Amino acid sequence: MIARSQNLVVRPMKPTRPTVFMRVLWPWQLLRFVAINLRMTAMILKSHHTRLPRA
Amino acid sequence: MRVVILGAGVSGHTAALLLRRKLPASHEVVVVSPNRLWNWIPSNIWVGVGAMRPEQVTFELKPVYDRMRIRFLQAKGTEIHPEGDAESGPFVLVESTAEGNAGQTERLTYDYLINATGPRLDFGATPGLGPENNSLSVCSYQHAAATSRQLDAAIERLKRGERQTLLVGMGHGTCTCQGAAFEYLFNLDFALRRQGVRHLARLVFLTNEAGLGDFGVGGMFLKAGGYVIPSQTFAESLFEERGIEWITGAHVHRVDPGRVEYETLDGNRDELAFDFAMLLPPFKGVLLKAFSHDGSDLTGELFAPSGFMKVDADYTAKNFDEWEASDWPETYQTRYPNIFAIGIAFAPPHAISRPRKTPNGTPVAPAPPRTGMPSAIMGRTVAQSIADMILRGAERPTHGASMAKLGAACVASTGMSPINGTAASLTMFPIVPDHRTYPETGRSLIYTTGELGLAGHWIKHLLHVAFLYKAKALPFWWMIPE
Ligand SMILES: Cc1cc2nc3c(=O)[nH]c(=O)nc-3n(C[C@H](O)[C@H](O)[C@H](O)COP(=O)(O)OP(=O)(O)OC[C@H]3O[C@@H](n4cnc5c(N)ncnc54)[C@H](O)[C@@H]3O)c2cc1C
Repeated sequence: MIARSQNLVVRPMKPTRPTVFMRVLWPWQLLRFVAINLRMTAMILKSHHTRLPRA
Repeated sequence: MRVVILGAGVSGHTAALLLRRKLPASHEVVVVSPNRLWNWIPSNIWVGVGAMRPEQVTFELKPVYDRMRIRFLQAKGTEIHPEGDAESGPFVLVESTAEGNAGQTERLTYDYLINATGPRLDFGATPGLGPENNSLSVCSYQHAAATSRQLDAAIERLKRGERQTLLVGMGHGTCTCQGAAFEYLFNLDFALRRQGVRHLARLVFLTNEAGLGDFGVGGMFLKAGGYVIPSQTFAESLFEERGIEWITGAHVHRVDPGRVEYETLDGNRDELAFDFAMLLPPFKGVLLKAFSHDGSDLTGELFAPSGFMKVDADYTAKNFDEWEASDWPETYQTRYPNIFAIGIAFAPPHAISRPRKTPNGTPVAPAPPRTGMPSAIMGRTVAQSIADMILRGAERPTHGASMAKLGAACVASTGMSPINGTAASLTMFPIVPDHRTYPETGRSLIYTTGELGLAGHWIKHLLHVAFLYKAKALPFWWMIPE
């Protein structure tokens, strides 16, 4: 049972050509590189372990 | 005092390096691990498609440990005696795997023990599964190198104009690590396009996830274009874009040469013929036994039936809808205050993705993943607690890192090239959904994000370089976060 459907109504969304192009466009990706790194740094800072209160 | 660490993977190696940095030389840090090489497992994906060589994802552990003044035993732990015996205090029995004295056993006493033994690859759970039988794997660098050779052969056949079916996915209904199979699938697609043979290849993804994008964490919700969108929508979109077929909610019953037999959540049993199949195995805990002072078997008390070690979690049996984020462990201490279990080795209290059964009663239940970042953070957390217990006399662990309070950053490669490769950069917070704090989505919509692009590939490659640098304990290694 392969779920891939040829029916247009239930077909998954597909990216537009500009979206696919932007995914590998160097100048835009350099900006995304900075943005993703900042996002991941925020995640690392938020997720670092916690010091537990002493009993 | 002596701290013994079983396992030199992501979590154990992190704990060993940090303990050595924190403890004065009068205290001993001993690492026991069966492999002489350290392996950056996430990059095995690239080895599996021939984009990297095994030497690029491994290095010799002993010189690093010698330089760091950590004692390394190339051996595997087989028994834990947490209460000691008439001869000595607590000890582990280890069996050498080093060339020359393989099989020799040694009794290693400890003051503190960290179990960081990761998973046992349970290929035996599905008849015919695994590299010694009828399918391939990328779980170790050896498996990945063998898979790459098989892929070369498949590409040769494609180049001769022979159509091929390449199957990637999960080899059992209870597998975890769907992210790794997802990465391998898209790297395979990318490699076949590069070779100009993609049009002759049929790519099929076979997974135990009820829907694509579940990843064993019940999927996630992301904000995009003014909507809150489930990860399934994005995942299906990527499959559609790359022309990859998928079968979800599947349990594999058996793998024969060139043919897989599976059952899906609607109860249908079906089979698929393949020319190449990379199917991941379910994970179990490694084969460790535990004995009390008088020699009676403690294994069932220290370990869950899955073989993973029980820690400070709430293991009360509950329905899936009744679990709480607070059930998840925080300190990773076991019922013995000087024994901890971290990374994949600790027993999760429950599934994160809803466990299901087919109408025939076959479980299709993705196990919770414990990826690299949380595993390494657990290593750091436990190292700090043990250092405080040794140096400051703390009576209980001083640091905690619950997966219900930790987030994870994960970069899933979807094609390896610095010019036109891509990867999905994902962050999620928290890893274990907290429906009290985030009633609608289970996770923060600010910190749960995802995007696909070349920048993700650059980050993935940077992480490969940075984590190998850190693992080799090169200058200022400790400044690189987990
Ligand atoms: C193919 C693949 C790709 C992945 N990609 C990613 C990714 O992109 N990002 C991510 O975050 N995570 C990824 N993961 C998951 C990641 O590898 C794990 O989360 C991580 O390795 C877990 O660390 P660990 O220390 O618990 O176990 P491991 O890293 O597996 O280490 C376990 C260690 O214990 C040793 N050992 C085994 N038995 C014994 C014994 N009896 N005694 C002593 N030592 C023993 C082993 O030899 C090993 O050194 C991937 C996993 C796989 C399989």
